[in-house]
Amino acid sequence: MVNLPTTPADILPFIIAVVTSHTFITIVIFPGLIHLIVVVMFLTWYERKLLARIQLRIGPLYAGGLGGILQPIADGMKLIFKEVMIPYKADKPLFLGIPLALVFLGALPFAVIPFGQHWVIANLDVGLVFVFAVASLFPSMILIFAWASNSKYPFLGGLRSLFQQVAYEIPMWISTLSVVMLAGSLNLVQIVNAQQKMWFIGPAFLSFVVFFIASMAELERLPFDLPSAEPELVAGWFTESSGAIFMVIFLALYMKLYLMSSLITVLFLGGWWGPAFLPQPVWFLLKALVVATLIIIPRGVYARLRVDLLIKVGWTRLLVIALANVFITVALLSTGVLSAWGL
Amino acid sequence: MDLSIPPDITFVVLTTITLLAAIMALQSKELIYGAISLAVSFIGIAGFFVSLDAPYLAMLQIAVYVGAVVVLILFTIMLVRRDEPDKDEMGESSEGAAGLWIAGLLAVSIAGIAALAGPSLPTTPATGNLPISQLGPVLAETYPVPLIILALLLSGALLGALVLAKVDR
Amino acid sequence: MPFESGQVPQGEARKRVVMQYYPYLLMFVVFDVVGMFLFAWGMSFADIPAADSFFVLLFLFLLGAPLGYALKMALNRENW
Repeated sequence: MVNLPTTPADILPFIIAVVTSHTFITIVIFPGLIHLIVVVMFLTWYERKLLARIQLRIGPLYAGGLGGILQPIADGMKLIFKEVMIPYKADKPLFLGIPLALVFLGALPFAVIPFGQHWVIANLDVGLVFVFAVASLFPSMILIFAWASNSKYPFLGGLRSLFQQVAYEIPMWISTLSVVMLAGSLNLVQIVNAQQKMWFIGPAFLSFVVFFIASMAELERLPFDLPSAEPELVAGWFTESSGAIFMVIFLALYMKLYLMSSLITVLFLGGWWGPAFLPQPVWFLLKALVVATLIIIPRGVYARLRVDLLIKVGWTRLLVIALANVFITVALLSTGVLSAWGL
Repeated sequence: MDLSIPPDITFVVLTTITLLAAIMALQSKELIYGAISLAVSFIGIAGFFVSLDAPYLAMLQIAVYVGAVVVLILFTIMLVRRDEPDKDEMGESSEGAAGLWIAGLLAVSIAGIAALAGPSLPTTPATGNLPISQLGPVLAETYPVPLIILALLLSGALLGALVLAKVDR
Repeated sequence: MPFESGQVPQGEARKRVVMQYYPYLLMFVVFDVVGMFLFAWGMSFADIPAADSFFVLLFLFLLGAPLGYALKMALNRENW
C-alpha cells in the first residue's frame, strides 16, 4: 500500500502511484468504466451496421468519416438536447430515478466478470450467483418504471416484459448448473480456468443452446421482442421516455447485451484462453463480439413471436430441457466420459 | 458490555438503511414506494449476511426476496389499486407515540437482560466458519431428509397458492 | 400528456392488469429457491459421494410432478 502524502512534495508521487495501481486500472480503465462505455457505444454502431448489411442497406455513413463510426456520439448529443417530457400525473422521482438505477445495475455485474487471468475487479467466490442475483432485479425495475409513466402502452409493455423475463430466468439458471458441475466452483475465474483443455460448449452443448435462447429472451431481442414491439405497443415500456432518459435506458439495454455476451464467453467459450499470439483480454473481446453478433443477427432475420406463446414455451419446453440437462450432465460426469479432459 | 470498542461502521450503516427502509415501507402513503422501500430493506439484510461471512446466503436473499417476492408484492399492489386515489389513508398521530412506547419498553427489557446476564454473553460476533465449498456437502450429506421434506413443502406451497388463486367459473 | 398514437388519451391508465400469467409468477418464486439450492449442490458435486447426490436428484425429481400439474393449471385459461 502506498503511504498517504504528508508533505506537498509527496502529492504527485502519490497520485502517480494510485493511478498506475492495478486496482485503479481495473476499476476505471480496463474492465471498468471507460472500457464499458466505449464498448457499449461501439455495440450500438455495430448493431446498426450489421442489421443494415443484413437488410441490404448501408447504415450509418456520415458521422465521423468513413463508416459513421462516431454515430453513437452524434446520437448521444442529439438525445441530450431533446426535451424530457414527463407525462401527466406520472410519478416523477421514480420516472427520473429508475433509468439511472437500471444503468447502475447493468454495469454492476461487470465487477466480477474476468477479462483475463488478473483482469477482474472483484474475484468473488460466489461470482456467478452474484450476476444472476443482480440480473433478477431488472424485471421489477422495468415494471415500476412502466407503472410510473402513467400511460397504457408502457404499462402493458412493462407487464409483458416482466412475465417474459421472469419466464426465461429459471431455464437460464438451471442450464448454468451444468457448467458449475463441470467446473466445480461458482468463481468465474475458476470456471474459465477449468476450460483450459476444452471449452464447455463441447460437453455442455445443450446448456449452451438453452442459455443462448434464454439470454435472447432476457435481453428482449427479436424474436422475443414483443414488450417493445413497434407496431403493437409503440415502444413498449419505455414509450414515455424521451431525451436523456431514453439515452440512459438505451445504454442500459446495450450494457445488458454486452453482459450476456461476456457471460456466455466466460461460461461456454473458454473466456480468455486462446493461442498465445494475442493477449488474453483481446481473445475475450473477440469471443464476446462473436457472441454479440450471433445475438444481433436474428433481429434482422426472424419474425416476432407472440408473447403468450413465448411465455408458454419458456415454461414448458425450455425449463423441461434445462432440467433434463441436469440429469444428463450428472450421468456424463459420474460415468467418467469426460475424464479425458480432466473434468 | 465493553463500551471501549467503537461500533462497527458497516453495522451502523447497514442498520440505519434497513430500519429506515422498513419504517418507510410501513408508513409510506404511496404503496409502490412502500414496496420499493421493502426491497431496499431486503438488500440491507443481504448486506448483513455479507458482513457475517455468508455471501451465498446474501445472494440467495437478493435473488429470492428482492427478485421474486417483491415482484409478487408489486403485482398485487397494481392488481388491487384500481382507482385514482392511490394513496393509503392511515397514520393517525397516536400511532407514532404507541410505536415509540413499545420500542422503549423493548429496549429497556433487552438492556435489563443483558445487564443481568453480564459476563456470560459473547462479545465478539460469531463469524461463519463454513467456507462456500462446504455448503454443498453439508446440504447433501447432513440434511438429505430435510431436502426431501423441502421438496414436498415447496410443492405444497405452490399448488396451494395456485388453487387458492384460481377462479372457478 | 401520455402518448396514444395521436388520439386524446381516454380511460384510466393503469387499469388492466393481465392475470393470465399470474401462476407463472408463483412458479418463479418456487423455482428461484430450488435453483439456489441446486447451485449449492452443483458446486461440490465432484466431492460428494454418489449416494448423497442421489438425494438431491430425488429432490429435483419430486418437484417434477408438481411442476407438470402447475403447468397444466396455468395453461388452462379459464382458471384465471
